[in-house]
Amino acid sequence: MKKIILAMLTFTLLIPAQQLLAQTPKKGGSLIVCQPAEPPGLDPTANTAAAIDRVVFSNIYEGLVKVKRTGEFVPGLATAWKVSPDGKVYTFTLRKGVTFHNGEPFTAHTAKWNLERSAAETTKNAHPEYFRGIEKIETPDDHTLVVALKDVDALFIAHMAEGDAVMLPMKGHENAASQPVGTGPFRFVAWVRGDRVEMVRNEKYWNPELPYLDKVTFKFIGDPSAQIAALKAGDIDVIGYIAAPEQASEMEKDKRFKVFAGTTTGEVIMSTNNKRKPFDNKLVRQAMAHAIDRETVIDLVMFGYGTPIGSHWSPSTPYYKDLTGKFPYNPEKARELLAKAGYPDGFEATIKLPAIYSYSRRAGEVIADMLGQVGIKLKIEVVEWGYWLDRIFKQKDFDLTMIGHVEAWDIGIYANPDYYFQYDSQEFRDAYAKALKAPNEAEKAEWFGRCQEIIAEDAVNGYLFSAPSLPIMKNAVMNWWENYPTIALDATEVWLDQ
Amino acid sequence: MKRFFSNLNFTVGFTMSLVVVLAAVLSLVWTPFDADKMNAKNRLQGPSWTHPLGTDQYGRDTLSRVMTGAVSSIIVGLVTVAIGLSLGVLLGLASAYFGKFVDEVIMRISDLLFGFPAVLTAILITSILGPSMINAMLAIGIFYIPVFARLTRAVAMTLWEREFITAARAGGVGEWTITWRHVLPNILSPLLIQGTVQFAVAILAEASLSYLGLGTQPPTASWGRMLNEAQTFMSRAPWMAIFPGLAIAWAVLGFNLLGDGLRDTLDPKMVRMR
Repeated sequence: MKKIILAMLTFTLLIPAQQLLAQTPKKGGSLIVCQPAEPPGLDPTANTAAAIDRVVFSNIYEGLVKVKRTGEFVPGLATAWKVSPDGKVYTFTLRKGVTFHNGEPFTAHTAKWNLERSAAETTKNAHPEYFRGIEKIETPDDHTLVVALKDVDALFIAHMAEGDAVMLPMKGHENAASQPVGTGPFRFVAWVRGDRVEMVRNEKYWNPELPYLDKVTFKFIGDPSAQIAALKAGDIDVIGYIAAPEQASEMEKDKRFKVFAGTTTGEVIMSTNNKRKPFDNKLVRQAMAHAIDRETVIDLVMFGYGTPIGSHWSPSTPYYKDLTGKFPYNPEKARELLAKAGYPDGFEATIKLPAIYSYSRRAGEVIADMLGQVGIKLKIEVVEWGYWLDRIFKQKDFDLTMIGHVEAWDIGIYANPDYYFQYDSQEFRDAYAKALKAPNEAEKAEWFGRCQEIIAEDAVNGYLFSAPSLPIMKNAVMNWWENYPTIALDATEVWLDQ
Repeated sequence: MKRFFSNLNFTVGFTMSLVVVLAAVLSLVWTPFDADKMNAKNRLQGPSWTHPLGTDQYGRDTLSRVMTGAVSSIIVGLVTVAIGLSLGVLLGLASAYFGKFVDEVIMRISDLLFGFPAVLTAILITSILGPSMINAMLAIGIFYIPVFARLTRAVAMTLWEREFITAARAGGVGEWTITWRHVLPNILSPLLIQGTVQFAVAILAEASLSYLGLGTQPPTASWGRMLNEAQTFMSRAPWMAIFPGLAIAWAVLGFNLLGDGLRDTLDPKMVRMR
């Protein structure tokens, strides 16, 4: 199965590459992209919702660092950066001649103000910790930004490449949630609530070659069947990422459309309350890991789209370690471990599934069936999203749940014993601290690898699969991203062959 | 008994309802396959000799699930009608017997309940109490109370004016005995008719709530949930939607015809009017 997926992956990757070689991009045209969730606002520095980043990140707003299609960090608003030998001082060289959509120039002062704003006590930023490691910021000239960190932070550049670290103008940032103003290739025009966000080409974009498109519209259609119907009817050009994989396999047969089965940064896991009995027992968690057949889960839940994972790390993120072989599917072994843990006849527990995510509901049903076969009787409770956020995420009132963690580089959540799955391990915290302070690539790889191993060995959560990107588009849409190494539906280099 | 079966509505309705009940009872002891057992290799198969109604996205046998789904529907029908009947008749009799203030209060509360759209309020109740079959039954059952209360009151009030009650009263029989011995037996047939119709409505309501994810919880099979799950597979595996849909239509039509048939037979005045 893995091979088939890989083959499919390479195959789908090859098509656009060949087309790209054969054709030069054409300018002009209007693109309508559909995504299921309407963002709660349009300011990625004030809210954690991924729906915001998918609309505005890299389209309207840009940060100092950008994530390339292959997952590497490349220049964004900074053309280069140097790290001091002790790994604590970052010197960014900023791009010249960059202006915000409102005419305000982007300088080192703007950048400094942005970083300080996100670190401030009063910040609304969902991840102030990205910025709080900064000791001081200096601006020797308009295009040099010197950031001194309190300590070595291996993820500093990675965090600067997140939507939370985009640059806002000093004037007009107050209305960023409804009137976004950035430096990106597209300029915000209108947000028709409940329907769409419209943006047009930024004529003054710092790269005169880009973007190719005149206009991009993000349309919000929640129902997966309605999305497909809209695509077939020609009302939309791209389904940004798909909510129902069973539709994708159908659409692959349709010659008018392209389906990309790429990777994402998201990990779908069965979150386990590590403080609650009997899940506080490592043997029980390992038994559950043995009872889960990932390939079948991917088949039944995702129609074969998705890559099995063995830890909280997506294969698309650097330093990935394949740990899927750690607890191979083995119901016999699972029963043995349960007996050893003192539950020879299994036990009963509740799995709470957020209703809004169909992958989560389905995975929950499939897992309940699998665990049932080794004697763990799961009662399924489908809950509303508000309930999930409040009772499960905040109050930690759950046995098991099923959710996708979409952020890249988020293994640090395991270092926080107060996080909702309540995993408390000094060994992990030490390894993670070492990874963050690793002075070079080799040590980074070693310690981030160690982090993945520790939580895999402890079977903290049920690691199931990395979510597929699964965009579906008309054949005329060229150069759309196959893999999603960052949370964005970036239309900068997309063009229409018509 | 012959009287009943000479009525076409009753015969058809009775047969259809019987099929549903038998399927449900049978499913308790036997189904062709384990209704909840997943089988990745067998998913989304069309109707065949092994799986006469096909299989769903997890490879579960649709026939087995439709049969098990009948149990949920019947339990919901029975319990909700039981809630409505027991409390409704009590309140209806109290209303008719005491009259005045008591009647006024009970009937105004009934009006209030009638004022709310039933399914919408059921959604509200299940959202507050959490989605489950028991809460769904409670939500539907509450709305049946005024239905039966009004019916009981109306019939009981006319009965109280009838000669045989007056005769009983003249004979020195107590009010409670009159209520139990003379009034109640005489309102049984309208209650039976209404109960059968409400039974059909309950099946539909349970299907609606389960379709919205607020009724029966997975993995227990329920027709409404099966429809919901089938939605995204419509073009690929239409049998997943068609058979539970037919089951709902069949059961609702069956119990409605049964109710009609009962009314035709038990209430001869209606027949003459036709």
